[in-house]
Amino acid sequence: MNTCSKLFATAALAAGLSACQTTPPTNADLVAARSAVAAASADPGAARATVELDNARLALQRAEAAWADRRDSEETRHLAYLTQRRADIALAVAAQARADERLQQAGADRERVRLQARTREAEVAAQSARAAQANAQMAQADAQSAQAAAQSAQGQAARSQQDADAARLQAQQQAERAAALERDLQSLAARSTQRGMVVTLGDVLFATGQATLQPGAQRSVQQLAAVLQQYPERRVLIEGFTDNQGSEQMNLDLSQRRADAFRVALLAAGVDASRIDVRAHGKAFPVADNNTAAGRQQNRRVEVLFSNGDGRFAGR
Amino acid sequence: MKTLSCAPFAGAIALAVLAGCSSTPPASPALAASAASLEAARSAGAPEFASPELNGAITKLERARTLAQAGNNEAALRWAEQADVDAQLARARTGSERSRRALVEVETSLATLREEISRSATATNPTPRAPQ
Repeated sequence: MNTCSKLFATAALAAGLSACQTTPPTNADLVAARSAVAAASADPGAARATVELDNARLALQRAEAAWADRRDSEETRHLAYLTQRRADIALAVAAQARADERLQQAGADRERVRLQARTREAEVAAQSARAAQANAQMAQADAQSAQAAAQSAQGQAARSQQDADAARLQAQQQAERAAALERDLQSLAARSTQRGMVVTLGDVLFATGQATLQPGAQRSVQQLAAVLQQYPERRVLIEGFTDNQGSEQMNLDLSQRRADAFRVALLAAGVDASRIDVRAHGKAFPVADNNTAAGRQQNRRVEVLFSNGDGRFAGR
Repeated sequence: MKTLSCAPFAGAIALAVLAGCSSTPPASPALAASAASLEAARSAGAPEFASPELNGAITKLERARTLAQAGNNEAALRWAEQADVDAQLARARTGSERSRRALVEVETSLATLREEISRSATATNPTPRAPQ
């Protein structure tokens, strides 16, 4: 049947039935088109494709009208196809709009995360730089304190060395001085004893049984005074001794007076009083046999003991 | 070739005229519109992103042109209309496909970035040593 004969049949039918409007029978294409439009309307992104959705609804209306008015299945099929496609367009437009929104959001997120990462990287780098710097500073401080310790140790070693050198030098000087003193006392017939240098002044230098110094003793006095002047660090201990003749008291007294007399002589020769000590021993500490006259004479003596370099005397 | 000849049905012609038989508009405006939609779809990138829909539209437009040349305006019109809407769909799907792929790319790089950060966050940082 060609189109015109179809139209004739339709027109005749419509003319015949125009008086009563009945619900059109189901058209499968139309049903499909309706559900397509419904689905597009219900899509979550429908709000972003309102124009396209309106176009789809208009297309559906055309299809509905074609079927309701003319029962033209071919035309209805065609219009239903157009409706379906328009519904698909609405869906595609909605999908693009939603994708673009999410794209924008994701792009912003990516930038934010990149910024966070760069900030974190910068912080980490700054932190490692600070840590490295702190380590370097501490290493430097350690090096400095090690150097200072080394220097101080070095200084201490040098000072110890200096002290040792000074002590050695002092000892050397003292020894030299003691040797010099010894030489200088040779003219006085000094003896080197455990207690130090001792000059013995014999009995002949005193009047018999008395404490008066004979003129001959002056020479010894002058020599001793000269030595004492040359060695200002030394002091002298004048000790008086007698033989065992006579009483204890008498001998102590005589030995005291003789020692004192020599002291006075040294004072007169210019020796400072603080440098002279005196002690009387009486008949104690004989140096010879008291049973012979010669021995007794030897025991009747005055000893002059020289102190050490500090001005002290060693005990008997 | 079919011709729209209503001569044998003189009586029905009046009704047929009312029903709009011989006044089928020429198909050329519809053909032009379809061609325009096709061109728009092509330049949007439809050959790459929506080739099935585009090829369908091209085929239908060809058919519409052939029918129009043969004088079958009504059929040509329908095919042209379908070609037009197909081309528009091709263009719409090109747009959505482009956006979808771009979204996938950005979300993938975002996920990679986040993974890299979480990996580097667990790595130990150098700490300053205690003073000696």
